[in-house]
Amino acid sequence: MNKGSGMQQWFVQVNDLWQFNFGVEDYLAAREAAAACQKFISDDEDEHTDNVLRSCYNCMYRRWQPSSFQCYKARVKK
Amino acid sequence: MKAWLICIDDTDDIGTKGTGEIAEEIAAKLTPLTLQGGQQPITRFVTRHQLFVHPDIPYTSHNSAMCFQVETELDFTEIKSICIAHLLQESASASDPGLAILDLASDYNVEQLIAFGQQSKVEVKTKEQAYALAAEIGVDLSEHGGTGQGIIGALAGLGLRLSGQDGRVKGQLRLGSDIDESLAVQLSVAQVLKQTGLQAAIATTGEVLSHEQVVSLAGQIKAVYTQHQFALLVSNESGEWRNATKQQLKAY
Repeated sequence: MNKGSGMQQWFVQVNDLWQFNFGVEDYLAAREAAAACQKFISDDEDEHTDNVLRSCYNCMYRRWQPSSFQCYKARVKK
Repeated sequence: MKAWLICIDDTDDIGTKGTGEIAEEIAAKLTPLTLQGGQQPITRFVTRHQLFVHPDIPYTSHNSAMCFQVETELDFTEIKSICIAHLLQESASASDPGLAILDLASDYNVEQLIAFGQQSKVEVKTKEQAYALAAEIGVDLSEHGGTGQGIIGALAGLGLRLSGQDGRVKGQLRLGSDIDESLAVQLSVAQVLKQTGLQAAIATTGEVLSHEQVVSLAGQIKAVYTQHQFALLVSNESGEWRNATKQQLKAY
């Protein structure tokens, strides 16, 4: 994330991971979060669920959950 | 030639070759295009089947299985040997690959297999359940590294493909070389089917378009497996048929 735009704007801490706070269908929030992220890497195109490439929903480091996803790149610093 | 349905699951890890790509490679090894007159039979399309997403399931990021059909002169032992060799060569070291092979001419209980697939989209299944069902209905199920947890998705993927109502086709469809794919183009359904080899254009509502209807195509053109057909998924936007967005494809 860029300076001044912390993970907390889009994610909530769950143990040592960050969980997306906007569910599985808030495309605008997912795009904003990815735009501010320096670790975004596209997953296989077949796994994309957003038409806009740079979106957390298309990122290789997201792990889907029933109602959200967790980011496996930006681990919580202890 | 006999027809076989093959499904693999849990072969990848973050940053490694995807399961879909490995499935395509196995399909190519089993049925080289030179043997098919250079043209890929549509049944060889790899379909991606979404399974249950749950904290208790050790998937990498999305829990999907990849399934394809091949028609080949190879016997079962040869087919399985090729599949295993490729899985061992290409699977990620931290993965838990599973392989399911079904002889489509065998006398198997398709309803049970479909039910297992559909249940695997909404509940946590165990390896024991998968092995028990596979033994009962004659599916060859095998694990090839790690925990072997991928056998569950591999078996489920067979069932979901056989349901005829599940899965996105891996990859993007290419239109003819005389069409500039960077621009939106309007084609009749008949033209789309001819250019892509698909079997139908079907709306998100389930409506099957006639061959005369016109579809506006833009961006990535993707297919789904629905109503037992490989189909271009379309939606009606302000009176115009358009190819589906990623958001719409997500449900398949």
